[in-house]
Amino acid sequence: MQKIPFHIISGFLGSGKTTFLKQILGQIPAGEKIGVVQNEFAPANIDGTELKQAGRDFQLLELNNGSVFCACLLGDFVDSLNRFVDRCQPDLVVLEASGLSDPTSVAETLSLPPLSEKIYLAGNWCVVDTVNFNRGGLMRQRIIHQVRAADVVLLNKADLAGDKIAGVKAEIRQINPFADLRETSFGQAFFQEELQPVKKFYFDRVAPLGRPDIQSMVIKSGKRLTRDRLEKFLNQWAPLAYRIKGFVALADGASVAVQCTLGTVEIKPVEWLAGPTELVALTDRFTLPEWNRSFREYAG
Amino acid sequence: MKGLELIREAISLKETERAPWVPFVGVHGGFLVGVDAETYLKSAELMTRGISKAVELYQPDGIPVVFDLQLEAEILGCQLRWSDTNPPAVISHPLSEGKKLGDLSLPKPEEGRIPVVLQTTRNVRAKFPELAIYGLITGPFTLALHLLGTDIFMKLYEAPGEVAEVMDFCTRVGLKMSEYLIDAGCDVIAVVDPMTSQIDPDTFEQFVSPYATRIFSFIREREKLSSFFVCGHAQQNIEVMCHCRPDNISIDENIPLDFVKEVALREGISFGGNLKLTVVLLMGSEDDARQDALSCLDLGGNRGFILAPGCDLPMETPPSNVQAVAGLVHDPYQREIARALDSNGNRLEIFNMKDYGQSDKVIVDIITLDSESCAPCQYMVEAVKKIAPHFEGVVEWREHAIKRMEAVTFMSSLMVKNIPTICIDGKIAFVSKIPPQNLLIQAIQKRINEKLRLKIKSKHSEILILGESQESCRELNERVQRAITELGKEITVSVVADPAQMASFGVTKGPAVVAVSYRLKSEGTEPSLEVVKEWIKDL
Repeated sequence: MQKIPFHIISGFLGSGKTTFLKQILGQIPAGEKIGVVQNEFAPANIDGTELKQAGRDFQLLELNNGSVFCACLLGDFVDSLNRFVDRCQPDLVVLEASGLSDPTSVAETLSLPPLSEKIYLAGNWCVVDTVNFNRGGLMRQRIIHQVRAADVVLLNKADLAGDKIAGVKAEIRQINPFADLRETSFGQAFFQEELQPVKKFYFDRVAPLGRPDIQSMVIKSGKRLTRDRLEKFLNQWAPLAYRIKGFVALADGASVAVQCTLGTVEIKPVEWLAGPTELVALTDRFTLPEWNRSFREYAG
Repeated sequence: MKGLELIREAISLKETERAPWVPFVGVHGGFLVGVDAETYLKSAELMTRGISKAVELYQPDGIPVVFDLQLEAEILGCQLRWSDTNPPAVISHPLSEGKKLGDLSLPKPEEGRIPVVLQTTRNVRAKFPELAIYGLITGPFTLALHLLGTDIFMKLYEAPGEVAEVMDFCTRVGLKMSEYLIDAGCDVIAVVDPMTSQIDPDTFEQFVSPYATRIFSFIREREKLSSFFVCGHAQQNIEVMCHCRPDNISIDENIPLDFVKEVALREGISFGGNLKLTVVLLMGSEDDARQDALSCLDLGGNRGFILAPGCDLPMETPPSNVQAVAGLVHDPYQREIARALDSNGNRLEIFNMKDYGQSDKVIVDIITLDSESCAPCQYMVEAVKKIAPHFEGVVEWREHAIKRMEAVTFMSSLMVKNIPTICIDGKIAFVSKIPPQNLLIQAIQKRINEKLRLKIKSKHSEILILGESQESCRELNERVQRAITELGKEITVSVVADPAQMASFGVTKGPAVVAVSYRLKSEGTEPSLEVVKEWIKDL
């Protein structure tokens, strides 16, 4: 069975996640079956009413528990998603994460059976309300976590932001130096090409959405590495992965962002990391236990 | 030392003999007694049974009565959606749907599910006088979020006065709930405020600190203990949480334990956490649970630390995983074993042991931590050592101390999971318990008999006499029969008088003799392709 690519769309309340999701639905070819996962924290969106306006069929999984806001409820998320995938057999799954949820914890559940046998984390999108980004002081903690986990940050409402954009971009760069930043309005980002990140590395495979043995995996650890050991660790594993990215708390107290694609390793300093080291890998050449052990060996 | 006493010591930052252990059993108690979450949370009798079962299985030092952050919200008019496998979820927020704060009144002890919780508290108190009983209340910020919905985040900033009023009300709710729970017999009041992970320290100091501090002061006046539970990415707030003066801070896996330890101890406050709920306790193996617990115990240390899951145990958490943690807490040997396996588990190679134990002797392997430093291991080795001479050289024994890498490989190859274990000819025979002498002798004797049986069977042989006709083989046949009789062997003799069959043996002229010796290679198993190939090569 081909594994199903899974995309997370995060973003704070009112940033434009649902609008972006509507755009995505409109962009995906008619023959493909899309699974959408939503929670019911936003009462305006009961039964995917708003999404149905996109005029495109999709299978909807509504999570039973209000908000995937803490680790306590992730077990239920795993069960529901697992059943949903078995039942609907989608070609693609998109999760509209609650504004309060933590994308890395969600990604972590995809690292393990049963989900790891069916799904891999293909992309992590964060929608940011450019106009109100700086007003978000009070909600900043969650925004920082979501921006940090993102592959692509959509600077939404760019048409209304005027000269604020440059400032917001600089700030996001500080939080996540590797994310791809794109300006949008009404969530109109081009999504389709992003659906098949793995295909970029397999030019001979045009049609299939995934590879059977590809897996996304997450290391979350309070152990600290020296910079030298981090480099060695990444140099060992980067050639075996399509992508490794994340944030690492170093032994000397500094924090860095890392990104490895096609064997290249990049490390950049970031502001103090309020949380443990979190690394995500996408690979078909090693397993989470192997990777985790190696990390612990390097951390000493 | 008894649970409550141990927790008191930890909270007063004294060195403890071991870290106290508090499994947060909420709806998981329902799983233990076989009912769904809703039925469980509505019955004092079932909750009492669930907690009792958890105490029996997990040998805790403290235990919560219930873990339900919707209890107060329900009484205050939030609608709940019930689930079979989770605590209920709040799905409506009265203060953003037309209700006024003035319309709400403080919960009375007979309202909603409070009587169920108080009755359970009294039952558990009476049944387990030496355990620390935790009463949980919804933290004021989380309760305010239930009442206001996510509007609260905009209001923090657009209408701070309104939020302050709601916070004040939620604090008075918390004070009332604490009072009821303390009166019913709780030792520790835990203020559970997960939603504070969403805000930064400045906001926390403005909108949470003054309110939470009031609750902790009240608990202190009542001479009870308090804990501040938070989950999620709340690292930024640990210091300001300490400034609210709880007796303890409990966190989940999103915050490194060593970080919390450093801040909390500097502030003179005990701390707890942070076993991984989903990826380890719910979805992992017993080994994963032990490794995670070991890492928490090592980081937390023996001063001011309480071992606990990061949050409410998921309902269907396998009890064996929580038991694995309990075993590690109570047994220093298990900690050493987990440590040895952890440090040696990295370069693990598995041997092919399918043919293990086929030699003439019976091999007894004892997998130990190290019989010199681990008493149960020592007794197990001695038990074997003592009986081995009775078998006069037929039984050979050896110890595999897993502090060495080869022994870990050996252990994993034989699929041994517990220490100490006795294997007889590669099969697990006795796990953890030292067998009485007679049982050990019986087990070894049984294996000797088995091998003898195999050997007897393997002696089965056949002689074929090949010739052009029966007549041409007659004389040779008689000679062979006589030889068999004189030797007392059990051998079948067959005469094959068929030129075609003669040719298939490569015989061109009769009479000829072919001796066939059958050997039993395996019994009751399906040997792998590789093993079968090895046998074939020997033919």
